[in-house]
Order: sequence, then structure tokens, then C-alpha cells
Amino acid sequence: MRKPALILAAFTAVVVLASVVEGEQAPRGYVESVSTFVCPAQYRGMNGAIHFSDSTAKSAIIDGKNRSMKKGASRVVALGKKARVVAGNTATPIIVASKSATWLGLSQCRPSAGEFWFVGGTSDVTSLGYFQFVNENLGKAIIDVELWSEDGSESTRTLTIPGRSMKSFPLTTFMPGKKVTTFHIVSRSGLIRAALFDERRKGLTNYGGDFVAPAVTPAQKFVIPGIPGAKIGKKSKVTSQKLRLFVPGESDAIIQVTYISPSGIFAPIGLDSLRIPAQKVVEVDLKSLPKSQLFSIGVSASEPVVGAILTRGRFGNRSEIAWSTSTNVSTGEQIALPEKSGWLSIVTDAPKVSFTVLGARGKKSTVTIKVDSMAIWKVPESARAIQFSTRAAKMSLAFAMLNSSGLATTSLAPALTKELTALPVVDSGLFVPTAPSS
Amino acid sequence: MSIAPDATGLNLPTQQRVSAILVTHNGARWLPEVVAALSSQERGPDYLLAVDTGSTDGSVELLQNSRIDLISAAHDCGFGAAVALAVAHLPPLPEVLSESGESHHRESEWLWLIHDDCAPAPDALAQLLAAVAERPNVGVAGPKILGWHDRNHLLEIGVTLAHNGARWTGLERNERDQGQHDGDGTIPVLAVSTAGALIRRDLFEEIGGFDQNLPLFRDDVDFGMRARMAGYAVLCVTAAKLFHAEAAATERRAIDVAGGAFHRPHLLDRRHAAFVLLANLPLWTLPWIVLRIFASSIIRALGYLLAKLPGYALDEIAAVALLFTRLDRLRIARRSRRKKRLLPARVIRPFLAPWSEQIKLGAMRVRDLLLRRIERVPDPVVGNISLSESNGTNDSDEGELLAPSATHFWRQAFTRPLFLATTALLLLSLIASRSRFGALAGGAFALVGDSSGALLRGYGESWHALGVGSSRAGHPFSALLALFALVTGGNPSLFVAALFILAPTLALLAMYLFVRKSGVGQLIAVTTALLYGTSTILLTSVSVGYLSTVLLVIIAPLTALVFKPIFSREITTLSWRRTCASALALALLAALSFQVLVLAIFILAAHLWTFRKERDQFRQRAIQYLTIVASSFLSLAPWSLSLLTNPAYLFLDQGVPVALSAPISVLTGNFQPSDAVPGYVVSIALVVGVVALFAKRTFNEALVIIGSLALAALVSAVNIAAYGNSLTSPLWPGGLLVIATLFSCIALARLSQGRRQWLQESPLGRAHFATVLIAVIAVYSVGANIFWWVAEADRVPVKTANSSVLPAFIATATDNPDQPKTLILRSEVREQVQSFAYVILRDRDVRMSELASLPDEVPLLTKTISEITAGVGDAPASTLAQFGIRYLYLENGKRNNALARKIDGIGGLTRLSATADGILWQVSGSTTRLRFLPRSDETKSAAGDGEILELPSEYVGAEFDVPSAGTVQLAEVFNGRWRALHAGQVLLPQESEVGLTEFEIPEGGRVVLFHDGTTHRAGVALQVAALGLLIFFALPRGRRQRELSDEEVS
Repeated sequence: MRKPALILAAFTAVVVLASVVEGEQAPRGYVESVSTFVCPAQYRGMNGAIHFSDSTAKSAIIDGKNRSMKKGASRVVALGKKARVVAGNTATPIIVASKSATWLGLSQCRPSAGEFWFVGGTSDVTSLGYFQFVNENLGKAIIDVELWSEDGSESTRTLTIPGRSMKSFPLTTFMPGKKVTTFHIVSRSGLIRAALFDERRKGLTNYGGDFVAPAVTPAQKFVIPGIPGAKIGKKSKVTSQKLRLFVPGESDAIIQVTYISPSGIFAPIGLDSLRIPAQKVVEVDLKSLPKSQLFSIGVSASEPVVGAILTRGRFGNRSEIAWSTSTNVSTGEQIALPEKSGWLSIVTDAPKVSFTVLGARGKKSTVTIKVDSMAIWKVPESARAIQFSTRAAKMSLAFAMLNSSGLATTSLAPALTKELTALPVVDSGLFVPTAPSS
Repeated sequence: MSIAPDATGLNLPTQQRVSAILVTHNGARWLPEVVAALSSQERGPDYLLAVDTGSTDGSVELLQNSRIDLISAAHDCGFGAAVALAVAHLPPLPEVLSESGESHHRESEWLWLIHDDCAPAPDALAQLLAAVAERPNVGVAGPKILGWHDRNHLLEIGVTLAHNGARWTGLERNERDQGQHDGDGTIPVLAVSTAGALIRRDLFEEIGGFDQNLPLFRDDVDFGMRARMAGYAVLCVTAAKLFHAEAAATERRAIDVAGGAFHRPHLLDRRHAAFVLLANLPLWTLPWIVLRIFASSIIRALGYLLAKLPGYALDEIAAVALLFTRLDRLRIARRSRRKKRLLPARVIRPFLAPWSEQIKLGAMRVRDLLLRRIERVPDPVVGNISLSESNGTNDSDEGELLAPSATHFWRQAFTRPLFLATTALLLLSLIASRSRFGALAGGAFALVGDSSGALLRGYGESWHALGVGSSRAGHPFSALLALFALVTGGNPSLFVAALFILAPTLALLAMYLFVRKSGVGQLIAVTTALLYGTSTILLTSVSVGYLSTVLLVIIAPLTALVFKPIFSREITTLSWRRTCASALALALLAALSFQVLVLAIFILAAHLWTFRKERDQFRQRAIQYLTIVASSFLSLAPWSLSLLTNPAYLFLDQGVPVALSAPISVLTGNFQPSDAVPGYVVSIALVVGVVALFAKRTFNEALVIIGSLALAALVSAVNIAAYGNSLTSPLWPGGLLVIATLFSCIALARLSQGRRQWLQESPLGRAHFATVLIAVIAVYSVGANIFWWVAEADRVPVKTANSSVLPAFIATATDNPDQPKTLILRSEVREQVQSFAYVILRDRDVRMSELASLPDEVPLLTKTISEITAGVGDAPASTLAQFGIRYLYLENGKRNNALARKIDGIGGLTRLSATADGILWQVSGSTTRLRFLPRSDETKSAAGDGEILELPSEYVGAEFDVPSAGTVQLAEVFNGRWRALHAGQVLLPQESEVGLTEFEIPEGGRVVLFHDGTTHRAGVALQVAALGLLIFFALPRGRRQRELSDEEVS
């Protein structure tokens, strides 16, 4: 009886030992990859500059020659004839562009992607707008530009952008004569950065211009933050404010618009159940909304929908337009600012928001503001960048500027996230064919 | 002297006169009975004359005492010469003149030839004479010859020749005489044995008696042939019987004749066989006959060698050689035959043994051999008793014999437990295999290929064209699988499909065979076999695709039969034959799972320990056990030798690594590989092991179960990276679990034996509860396993699969002299991190058995893939091109659109196609396997000729011309054993910057590129030698004629 018991004890010991020494799968190295920002080139007498948070940001112009990125001499780089690629490990650069005494435009450098939605622009006789497609990679990119106007779907255009190059197309070449347009750019192969600029002039009258930021992909709920209102400046007058909507699906959508301002949210009558026909670009007038400095719009719809707001008016002593687009909610932003005064609109459910402001010579200060659905923070001229902590609440951000050149707004896209991928592995499991897909 | 009785009861023609000639040579052992038989003949010979050829054993005294006329001849005088001598001594026949004036013999005189080891039945001569009296054309008549010791053993009814010259009786081995060949009493034959042959004296004298070249053996056939050709008939009279000891042919006495070289009857036999054919058959057939004689003697010699009878093998060869040294004798023999021939040689043709008969008889011998093996199964004693108690049917052997009616037989067959269990399991297997018909893949199981030949060729190669190339020795499993697949006509894929369907049934039968041979009753044996056939490890292995484990489950019980005597307490000395057979069996098991060999070392060491008190035994056993382990290890060379430097791979079984759960669950037998096995499926091994530990008779089995389970738990706790994998994964403990399961079944069978009676007789106690517990667990295990196996069969990984990982058109596009490669990329989420896995393929899929030869990961390639998937880096595609990768294939195109766009952005990759299955890019630049780069200084001088030249190559080696001096680059990882033959010189390889193999060629000309596999071939030679020796020594030894018992031969 003793012998079996001893054996069992030894057995148990071995099994326990086995579970103790049980090997873990050997760890595998990870690769951290951050994509790059691509900044568009200047076009037709545009003046402008790319603003980095500091001068350590590396960048290179995109051409057929070299790809090595270098540090610039200063933190501001002028927009050149060629597009520029910026290393991703920096705050999202911001572009301030203007045409003397004509317009002011704001945009951000963004990473290349395979798909963009642009709600904005026009192809009628007033249009001076254009599309710019930048391919930063070596391989050529083939893209489909799907088009819709107030009359419905237009025929799709397929464009080829050679590697390390850029191509611009006037908007009027896409669907001449159409007033309200929406573009969906899908890459068949390769990644591109698309930029849309909307400028309007009738005869000798300038109506102004602005970059149209890419809209979020069709969704049933989105926010358009930081729309300029009539009270934005002393001599400001908003002549029209229209919400452009497009339902890409097959069925019409019922939408509800909510008005979000620092003083609270309400659902304006007349905008609480709008029927939007599918496959047609429509505009909804927002005239009935109360006057304010900056406000935001929330849209919820029964079908996925994309939207943006065009503000037209006289600001100072000239006509200007400004495009406000929907943006993805984000946390942990690091955004470069142009060292010019402006307004940061923050839309969030959180009661208060704190962020760090980076000033000249690395000066840092922390700002905490209370939020009631929306907050507006007046950006001081000294601010070079703002940084939200990664633990901050989800929010939608927009930046607006008004100066002698005109009015400009842009929604701020979420910063680039560092993508963590495991080092590729050799896996003999790939030798096993899969069952036939029946 | 005449010993003929005065009057006989038979009414015989008076003109027949018989002179009996008794030839003796050391036949004192049989002679008294022979003389007695002669004197008790109903119709005795008219005259009896004995010829003694120098006997030394008292034969002469015996004959003299019997008062038989005796002539003495030399001791080396052959049978034919002795008879000729006797005939010369016979008085001449009185002649009479006929009415026409011609002289002729009034009587016909017959010679009756008697050997000193044959005894005619009392009526033998009378019957012979009666038969010849009615047939005046008969020249020779012989009796039916039966065994001396076993007088029902039919030895001969006339003889003829097989096509290779062998003496052919047309009878089965050990055929009994039941009158089945008697016919109408006479059989026309080619010849009869000289023992008891009745020959017309005038015929004998006319054709010159027996050929003096044939002093022994085959003289009878030769004489019969010549008699036939002289126009006489030869008969076997079946009513006449003679009992013959065949003393010379069965080596009961030494051969002493002139020319009886080396006293070897076998040699004489073979030589004379050839002589008779060559001397008698038509001239134009001789080349064909010579060829046949040569071929058959070589084949027979090989056969004798395998049976370890080198003497006989030597006889075969020497006989032919000796014959051809004396061609003059043959010429003389042919000439004399031509003179005396009346009829052409083709008259004997119908009497030669037909081919069909020879084949039929051969097949019957094989069948007999097999039947004898099966008959040796011990009589089922215990089982029958319990069976008849339990279900009231009597299925003992007697019962079967007493049940001749057909319906009864079928009813019995259908109610037999083995039949029921086998049929039921086969049916269930068929249902469970519903999604496993055709080519299989999934889980651990990759494709196996369609050709055994290709597998064997791959095994023999020293350089494997897999991925970026590998010099790793092939796994012996590869060769083994190729051999197994011969069952299905050399198609491994078909073999595996059939195996996976039949595996439970085959395992059941194998286990049944084993336990029955261990003397376990039928019902218990069937139950045990059913437990084994539905064991968790088998069903799991089939479901997850561990082919080697499946084979192991089936083979293990059969090899256990080989090992059993080692551990038997009755056998004290282990024969070397058993040792070699065990080594062979262990090599077979180790080829399937090396874990078994490691376990075997432990078991043998433990068993050796039990002999520690007997010094001699201990030493002998130690040597033998060491032989078993070492020779089975060597039988797996060169692969096993590579384990010496890489011991971590000792426990690695064949298969693509699959995820397993913790070591604890290995004890339940269900370690959830690939999450494919539900938790309710459990193995009985642990419970049986613990219970068996407390029973004396199963203590040893319990030790093996517990030991292998503990080892299995340890093994599965180890994580190693399998060949050609970057990530580590737990080891599959299949081999050890098979042994644990096997022994738990054996233990269960032993525990169950006689259990019922014992339980009935003893008071209720612990044993009763243990029995109930085990019974419940066994029933549950079978039930749960079968339920899972059948119900969830289509949810397991191994299924009918696509025939290939490669899209069909790549397979064809890469099947050209460029030998380009394809990189298969898979994007997946592992532990919440986006990760990528890749492999590199040639023009075909990697076969299951090649997994052990896969090359190591190339860090540079991994880095390149990482850059490609991240869309960064400076022209990563050019690195792919350097490694000869022409295509990049991203699996699951639909889901990976974003990644695909990123890859598009990388320069140097052109998208060729995009489907839901996958997206394909072509790498630009030179992507050939072999390329030539001219030397840089010459590029400048030779304008326009400085481009990379793509060279054609075979699968491994290559032969090509280079235009100038330069570098030949092989797009495969560096290996120092590559060689280039150029201008009579052997060039050694260099490693390029990225780690490729390259050669500096000093000037233009022909270059032959090859991989030097000397070491590999040496390893394979070692393996073949080890296996050959083991097989040679493991085969049963044939018995010499003189070693057979008297009863067996006559």
C-alpha cells in the first residue's frame, strides 16, 4: 500500500512541477509604426504656411527624387509648389493659407488614406475650387472619384496618381454646372491624400474661399463643431448658413438637427424631422438658428449620412465663405496652432476639459475650462500647440480664425495614433489549406 | 537366390519375369523393413539382386544374413551405375525363334528397382504387373509413393519438372492420401521415382540405363524423359503403394557419390535439375532455359540468404557454376540422346508442370503459412466461459464445427461481439467522416502529396527546395508514409483519407489481436478493443490532424506483440532475433513519435534494474537493451543524428503546431487542441492507471501509464518553436498519450479477467466500488467520445480542403526554369495586436512530411515584410526580389483592403489580381532563382552587356553557361555545401551581403551547380545498413532439411 502511494505522490509532484515550469510563448518584438502627414501644395496665387509645434519636425517635399526627411530651420514652412510629407511623430501640423484681400483658409496636414468623403464645393460658374491628390508613396495610386450633386449620382471618374507626385483638378471638370456637390474618393490601389479647396467668384466679385476638411464616413450620428455665427466679429454678418447633407444609401433618411452652444443644447423646430432623399445632395437652411459667436450642430439620422455646413457672409469688409465639417471624436490630441489668435471649439459630454498649451520657447501652461456641451476657448497668439491628455474625455474639436484676410474654420482631425504591430512571424500554419468556401 | 513364393493368388500372365534390384548404401536403419516388405510381396520378384555401394553401417551383414545375392560396388558409385552393374549381372533372357525365323524373347523381363529406404506394400508388385500387362506400350511403371513415418502422407504420384528444373510432384505440402489423385488407377506421367519403378529390361538396355552424369537425384526424371522420347509410356499405378523415407534428399544420410561435391545434396539437386533440362530439351529453347536457370537460382539464393541459410544459397550459385564448367558432358549427353530418340522432344511438353499450377501452389503455401500463424492464437478459454454465461450462446470451436448450415454460420457471425463492434464502429466512422472525404487538411495537418515516389526522392535529397532552401535532414516519417501509401497505389493523399476513416476500426482490430494473444477472453477483448478504438487520443488526433499519432495508435498494439516476450517472466534468455525485431519495432514507433523511444529507454532501464541481482543475466540484457535502443536510433539516421545537436526537437511530433491547453488537462487526455475538443471528452488513462496501481497483477502496467502521463505533462509544458516557425508553441504529447492509453486498455483487460467471478465470491468492499467506478468511466468514455466524434464531426479542423494554398495560376506560373518563389502573407489579430504571418512557397505546397525540413526564419525577410505591411522603408520589394520572390499573395483580400492599399503604395509591387480569396502582387525586377551578375569592371568595358542575366535551374541543382567573369547568385540562404564546377575546378560558395549563396566565376563558360550531399548520403547509408541488418536478423531462420522431423518430411 505504501509503494503505490509513494508513486502517486511522485506523480503529483511531477505534474505540479510541469504546471509550474509551463513555458510561455516566447515574446515577439513589436513594431511601432506611425504614418506620415501629407500637406498639400499651394495653388494659383495662394500664400500660406505649414505650422509645426516646434522646429524638430522632420519633413520632405514629395517628388521623384529622395524620400529622406529633414528637420526644417524654423517651425513654419511655407507652402510650396510641391506637396510636403511630415514625419508622424509630431503634433498635427496646421495650414493657414490666404489670398491677398480675398480669403482666409485653414486646413490640417493629414495622413494618406484609402477613402475620403468630401461634402462641399460647387461646380457652377462661380467655382474656382479644385481637388488636389497627393501620392507620397512609390507605387502609383488608382482612385475612383464618385460624384453626387443636387440631381443625383454623376458618372464616376477614375484617376491615376503616379508615385511621389501630386495632381490638381478644377472642380468644374468633374460635373460642370452642378451647384451642390459631394465627393467620395476611394482608392483602388495605393493610398492618397486628397484636399478640396472651395473658392468662389462671380465676375469681379470675390465670394471668398476655404479648405473643405474631409467629413467622417457616413454615420447615423455626427457632430459639426465650431460653426461661425453672426456674433463672431464686430463687423460680421452671416448672409446664409446651409447644412449640406447626402444620404449615400438606398433609402431616404429622417434626420434631426440639434443646436449645440456654450449655453446648452436645443432642437430647433423645423429641423427636428427632416426627410432627406437618398442619393441626392440637399441643403438645409439654418437661418432660424439663434445668433451666436460659434456654435455646433449635432445630426442624428435614420440612415447613414454625411454632412457639412457652408457659412457665407461679410466679415470685416469682405465677402467670405467658411466650411465646417463633421469630425471624428478623439482623445489625446496634440495639435499645432498657428501662433495667431482664434477660437477653439470643444464639444464634449464631460463637465470640464483640461489641456496643456505650449507657448514659445517650450513654455507650458495648463488650461481648465468648464463645458456645458460646448466650450469656446480663445486661443492666445502665443500658443504653438495644445495637448490633451490621453485620459481626456471624447470630444470634437474645431478651430476658427478671423482676421483682415477673412474668416476660416476647420475641424480638427484626431491626431495620429501610433500603430503597434507585432513583428511578422513565419508560421507553418499557412501551409494548411483552408476548407473550400462553399 | 529367389525368394519368390511358389504360387500367388493373382492370375498373372506367365510370360512376365521380374528381376528386383535393391541398391543399398548405409541404409541399415531402414533395410530390415525393406527386406521384410520384399519378402512379403503377394507376387514376389522372380529374382532379387542387391548392390551395395560401400556401406559401412552393417547393411552388408544384414543382406548376407537375409541370403540375398549381393554385388559390391565402390562407395562413390551412383545409383544409375549400381543398377547398370546389377543388370549386367542378370542372366540373359532365353531367346526363341518365331515362326518367321526372327529371334525374340519369349518372356518380357522387368526390372524392379528398390532403394534401401523404401518399402513396397505387399500387393505393390502385383498391382504394377497387372497394370503393365494390359498396356504393352508401357516402358516404365511406378507406384504411388507415401511417407515412411506418416503413411498417409502423399509424397509422389509420378514426377515432372518445373520450368526452372525443380522436381515437381504437383502435390501440396503435407498432402494426405485420400485417393484424390487415383483416377482410374493409372496416371500417365513424365517419369516416376526410381524407388519402386518397374522398368522393361529391353527399354533399359536400349536407352543405355540411367545417365551416369546423374549419380543421384533427377536420374529418374531424365530416364522418364528418355523413355518417353523412345516411344514408351510411363505410368504411375496408384493401386501400388510404396513407403519411402527419402533419406538422401532429406539429408538423413551423407552423400557419397562420385562428383557429389562437398557432400551437399542441395547442390547436386540443383545441378542435376539444370543438367536434365539442358540435356533433353530442344536446342533452340536452350538460351531461354539458361536464362531461367540463372534467374531462378539467384532469386532462390537471395531467399535462402534472407532465411539465414547461406549454405543453401551457396549451393544454388555453385550448382550453376559447376554445371557450366563441364559443358563437354552436356554435349556428349545431348549427342547420345539424339541417337536414341524416336520421338521429338516436344512429346514431353504436356507433362511439364504448367505455370498456373506452380503459381497456384505457391499461393497456397503462403496461405498455409499465414493460416498456421493464425491458428497459433491460444484457445479462448476464459472468454468463452464468460460469454456463454452472459448471453447463453456457445461459440466455442466445437460449436462452429457442429454448425455446418449456412444460415447458422451467418447468424453466428452476426452475433459475434467482434463482428458487431467492428461493423458498428465502421458505420459510425463513416458517418463521422462525412466532411472528410477526398484530400484533407486542417489543424496540424498539411497536405501529404500525391506520390510516394516524390516523398522518397525528397527524403533522399540533401538540399530541400522549400522556402529559402534548407539542408535539414528529412524526417524518416516521410519515407515511412511513402511506404505505407503503397497500400493505395503510392498515393499518400488517398492513403490518409482512407486511414482517417478506418482508423478507429483498425485500432480496434489491432488491440483485439493483441489482447487475444495475451490470452484474454473474447468479450473482454472486444470491450477493451472498443475502448481503444474510440480512445480520446485517437479521435483527437484524427480531428486535429496528427497523422503520425493516428498511425501510432494503430501500430502500437501490433508492435507490443513483438515487445511482449522481453518482459515475459517465463522467458529468461532473450534471443538476438527477438532483440533485432524489437529494435525494428521501436524504430518504427520512433519514426512516428520519438517520444516513444525516450519512454522506451526509461522502461528498458527500469526492467533492467529488476535483473540487478543476476550478474550474467544483467550483463546480457544490458547489451541487448542497448542494442535495441542504439540500433533503432541509428535506423532513423540521418534525422536522428541531427537530434544530437538539437535535443530540443526530441519530443517534437510531426505536424503544424496547434494551440494546446495547460499541462494539467493533458492528464484527462483532452488538452483541447485548437479548441476543437469539447470538455466532456475524457480519457480513461489516469483513472485506470491509479486503480491499476493498487492491483498486484497490473502494477507494472500502472507504472507505465503513470510514468508516460507524467512525462506527457512535462513535455506539454515545454514550449519550443517548431521547424520553420518563429513562435514557440507547446509540444504535442501524442506519442506518450498513445502509450498511456494502450497500457490502460491492457491493464483494464487484465483487471477484468475473472473479475466477475471474484466479485461474486468475495464480500462487498472497496474492490466492488472500484470496479463500478471503472466500468462507469469506461462506458462514459466510449459513449462521450463516440457522441462527440459523430455529432460534431464537421466542426473539427481536419476537413476536405482546397487542394492547394497557392492559387492555381501561380503554381503553373512558378513551374518554369526560373524557379521563382511566392510569399504568402496572412494578416491576423493575435492577442489584440495586429500581426502578420508569412511563409514562402515554391511552385507547389509544402507536404506534411517536409515540415521537419523547413528552413529557419530569415530576420532580413521578416524585417522586409514588416516594412511592407507598415508601408514604410526604402524599396523593401527589392529585398524580396533578391530572395527570388516573384509573387506576394495576401490572404483574405476582402477583409484586408486597407492593408492592400498600403502595400500598393510600396514601390516595386504591381497588383495582378484581387479576389475575395486573396490579392496578388508581382515583385518587379529580376526574381529568378539563379542569376548572373557580370563583374563590375567588365560592365563598363562591355557596353550594354552589364545587365543581370537570369539563369535556368533545376529543382535543386543547375547547369548553365556564363558569358564572362562575374558572380552567380543563388536566391537561397547561404549553405557551405553548395559547389560549382567550372572549367574542371570545384568552386566554393561565398555568403552575399544579404545572406545568399554566391559563387565568383573567374571566366565565362559552363558551370554546373550542385549541392554536396555526401554527409547526408552517409547518414542515409547508415540508416539503410542498420535497417537491413535488423531486418536480416529479425526474420525467422529457415530450417535445413535435416532439422525437420521425420514426420514432417515423409
